[in-house]
Amino acid sequence: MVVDAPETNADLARKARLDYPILSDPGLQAVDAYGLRDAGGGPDGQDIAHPASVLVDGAGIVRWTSVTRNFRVRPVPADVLAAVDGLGPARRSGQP
Amino acid sequence: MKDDVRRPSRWLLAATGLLLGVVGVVGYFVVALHLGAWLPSVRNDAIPNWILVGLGLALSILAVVRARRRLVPGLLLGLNVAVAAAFSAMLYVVSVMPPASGPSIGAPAPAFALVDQGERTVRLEDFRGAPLLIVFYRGHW
Repeated sequence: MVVDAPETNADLARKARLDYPILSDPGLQAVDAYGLRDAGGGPDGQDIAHPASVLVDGAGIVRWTSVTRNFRVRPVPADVLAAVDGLGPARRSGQP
Repeated sequence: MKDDVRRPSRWLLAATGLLLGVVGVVGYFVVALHLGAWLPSVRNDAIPNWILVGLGLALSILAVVRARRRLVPGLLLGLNVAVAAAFSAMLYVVSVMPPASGPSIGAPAPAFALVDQGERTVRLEDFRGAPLLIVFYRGHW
């Protein structure tokens, strides 16, 4: 999820061969709903999203988050996979 | 006489130290910009880079300690300290962000309806029944 336009995201998806959806949130509605606005953080002082990862289980509940305090630091894949494994089979599928 | 022969090797020691520091720093940015997806822990912690910078500093200091004429090794050490300080500032000062709360664990994820790269509308509900990882990022510029 990013403030960039869909065309920019289409370019990125093509160049980096990404097959998952890249959602465009230029108005920062979702960014605000998730409490992740970085006011004035863009190169020209515009508001952008704070780098973060949010894991939602099959029932729509937030189960794990990673919100960085340093933009060069992101969760490593092993941490994300461990969080997904931690959901367990029931939560993963959204069954009670 | 012996010292005259050995002095260039001491400059070499100091120069090697500076070179190691520069390689450590430049190597970090190569990793961060081009290989970050493959070497995420190097991008996050820069440990191999700090080892190179530390070794470089140690060589530079050794060169100054062992030199009889310390001007050139001293200048090289100064340069190396400046490189390490700039690296430190880049990693731990310039890239620090204001705190953000993020969503609460255990709360329902806020709903969204946004367009993807193919102009299709994607909603949170579309992912019911499967885990969903939402990654927020700063954008391309």
